Amino acid sequence: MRLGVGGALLLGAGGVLAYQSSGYELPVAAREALYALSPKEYLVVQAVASRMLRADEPVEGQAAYPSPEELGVASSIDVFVARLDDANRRDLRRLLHVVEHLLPLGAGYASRFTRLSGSEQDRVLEAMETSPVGLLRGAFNALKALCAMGFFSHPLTWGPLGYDGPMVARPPAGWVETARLSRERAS
Amino acid sequence: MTVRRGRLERSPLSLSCDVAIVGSGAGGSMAAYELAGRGLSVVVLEEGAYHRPRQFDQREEHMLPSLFRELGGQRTDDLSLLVLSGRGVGGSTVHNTNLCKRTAPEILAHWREEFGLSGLETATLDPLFAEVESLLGVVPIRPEQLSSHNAVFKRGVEALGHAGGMLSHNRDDRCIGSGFCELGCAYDGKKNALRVLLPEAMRRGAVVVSDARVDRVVYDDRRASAVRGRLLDEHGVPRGDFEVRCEAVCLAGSAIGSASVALRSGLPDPHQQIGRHLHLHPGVAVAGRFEERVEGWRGIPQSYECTEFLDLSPGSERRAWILPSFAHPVGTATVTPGFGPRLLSAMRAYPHLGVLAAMVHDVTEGRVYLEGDRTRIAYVPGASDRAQLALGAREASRILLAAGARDVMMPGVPPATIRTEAELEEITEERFHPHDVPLTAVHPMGSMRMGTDPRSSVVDATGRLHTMDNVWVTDGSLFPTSIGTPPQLSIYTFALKVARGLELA
Ligand SMILES: Cc1cc2nc3c(=O)[nH]c(=O)nc-3n(C[C@H](O)[C@H](O)[C@H](O)COP(=O)(O)OP(=O)(O)OC[C@H]3O[C@@H](n4cnc5c(N)ncnc54)[C@H](O)[C@@H]3O)c2cc1C
Ligand code: SF4
Repeated sequence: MRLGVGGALLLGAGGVLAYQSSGYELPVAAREALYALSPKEYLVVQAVASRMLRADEPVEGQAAYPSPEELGVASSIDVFVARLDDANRRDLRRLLHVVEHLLPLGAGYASRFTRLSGSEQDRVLEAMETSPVGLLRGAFNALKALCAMGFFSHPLTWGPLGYDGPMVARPPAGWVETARLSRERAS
Repeated sequence: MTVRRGRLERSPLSLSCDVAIVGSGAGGSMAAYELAGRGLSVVVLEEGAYHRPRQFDQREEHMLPSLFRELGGQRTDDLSLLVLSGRGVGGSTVHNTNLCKRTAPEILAHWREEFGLSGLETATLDPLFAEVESLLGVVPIRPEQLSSHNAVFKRGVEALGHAGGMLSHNRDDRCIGSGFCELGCAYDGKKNALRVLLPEAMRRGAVVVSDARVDRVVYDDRRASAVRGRLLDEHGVPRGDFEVRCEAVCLAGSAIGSASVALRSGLPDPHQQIGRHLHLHPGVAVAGRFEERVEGWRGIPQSYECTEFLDLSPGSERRAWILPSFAHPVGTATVTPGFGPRLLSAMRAYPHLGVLAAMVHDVTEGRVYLEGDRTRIAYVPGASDRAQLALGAREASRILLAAGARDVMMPGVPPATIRTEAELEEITEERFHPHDVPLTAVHPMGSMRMGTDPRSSVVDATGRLHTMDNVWVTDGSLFPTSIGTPPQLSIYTFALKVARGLELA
């Protein structure tokens, strides 16, 4: 294993921290709708997604992005986590506890991630993204990939991207047109 | 074609046959096609599900988890490298981008000389390559099929006077150039394992069982007598058992899956070679921002290549193969630097991006190993391969600038924006330590490699395990080294060669 001692210890600690579960309330309906995550893990995911996918200010003429909350990104991540194999699911859940309890300490905050202000949460995520512990950088990328999957797969994000989505959902453009377009651009 | 679905079969499922094949991708499907054609009874066990073209809905959030191992998130053990490989009837051929190249003569010569492998002369292999090409309808991609994205790349390559050219593929006229190859083809335009080889194997009597994960090969001394595993439900969760009694076994679960099954089974391995010598062709992507709308998601994804920096002779220090590598929005966002407003703002350039990948013909040797029940991949590019990643990223960036890109972005910590020669020169090996730049690999190979010396290889020149009388390998695990070019044609061809030589004792 090449997790590095720091990385392995951190993930191990995540398993222990999972037992700290007080102070995480979700409405009954939301709690019952969860597939894989505990209410605490769901709230951590929601907080991470809300910073990872915070919209830019559109300049004039540009479409605005929807918010991750509107798109239910945290719920899609929950569904995705439910499909993971046991080992990957366990690792991911441990990571969420590390994000909640340990990473804020590393960034100088004596508080849980979910209780920090938005800009403080950004600083924690930045520290993770650029961490000297390789595994944490890798974990940041894995979290970002989950958020990207929950967000950029949604058709409401495609307008701001200028992407027209799956072709099976509309009559196929047909080969000829695609080829003509290519030739025009090539010439 | 009628695939038996493990998710619906009564448990325990019990079958018997001459040859049990583990995995239905490039190697497994070809072995099934050939062995069934020889009149042998064949059962193919495939861990993943069976999909038909109408199920390929071109949505990343559905198709990546359905068609790839670990839901598309398989990474090396330190999380630094994403390793994409297939899981499902047809294996990685379902979502690959259909490029076809024969194994280079330099590579075959190296295998003959360094590993003592006979039967790899051009005169022996060329007819086999030709047979496979004809079976899979391999043809050059036509100039009018060049997408706008590939045309931009070609423009850059030509402006610099680099070596480059059109590629060949195994698509036919059902392909409309939708650009969704990596999510499965809704138009059935790929002449791959799923469309060509498995249906023909079944017409010849082979049985294909999906949702059936082989956990171990049952053996006594030097002879395997069965494979055993679990039937999986639609979520991949075990729901029952199966056993297939057989006279021979072909491992074709890919360089990761086959080594994993061999290790789990505890197949005799006195020199601890199983799982070692793994090569991946690690790749780095750089993105140029153009004034024009490139719309890189449209058209055949990869039809043109740059071979200026690819010399496959042993000891070469030009081992980077450059080609277009455009992803759909989720894939693109995953490697675009930053998060929050910075990420979302950068993503607005999506239609204006030209994205190139540099894939390295790697000398680094990784390893597939088990950690408890879990299959793990250890792989950290060595200094020489990091230098090749840097060479590839630098030259791919130069091509994008020559094609007219305003600037080029190389993801990483910190990300680099490149506009000038001086900035190009800053892309050095130093930037490619693990986790510095996101790396992706799509060509696992070599974890049960061929050779004549059992101390440094797992199978002999016929593909049979040195330590077993009736277990063969028919997938990318066989290759003694990296091959430096897209591997599917080589895998299909070596699987055909092994299956043709396979004799039941
Ligand atoms: C995105 C992408 C694009 C690519 N593009 C190209 C390209 O353009 N050209 C090219 O040459 N190559 C390409 N490749 C690579 C190529 O597809 C693979 O190298 C090739 O398919 C590997 O063949 P294989 O037989 O070794 O394994 P695979 O085709 O991966 O098949 C292995 C199968 O075995 C199954 N399996 C594994 N373990 C078990 C088990 N225990 N029990 C039952 N089943 C099991 C897996 O589920 C899988 O379906 C691409 C790959 C990817 C990911
Ligand atoms: S580009 Fe062609 S082969 Fe690829 S998905 Fe579209 S139609 Fe199918």
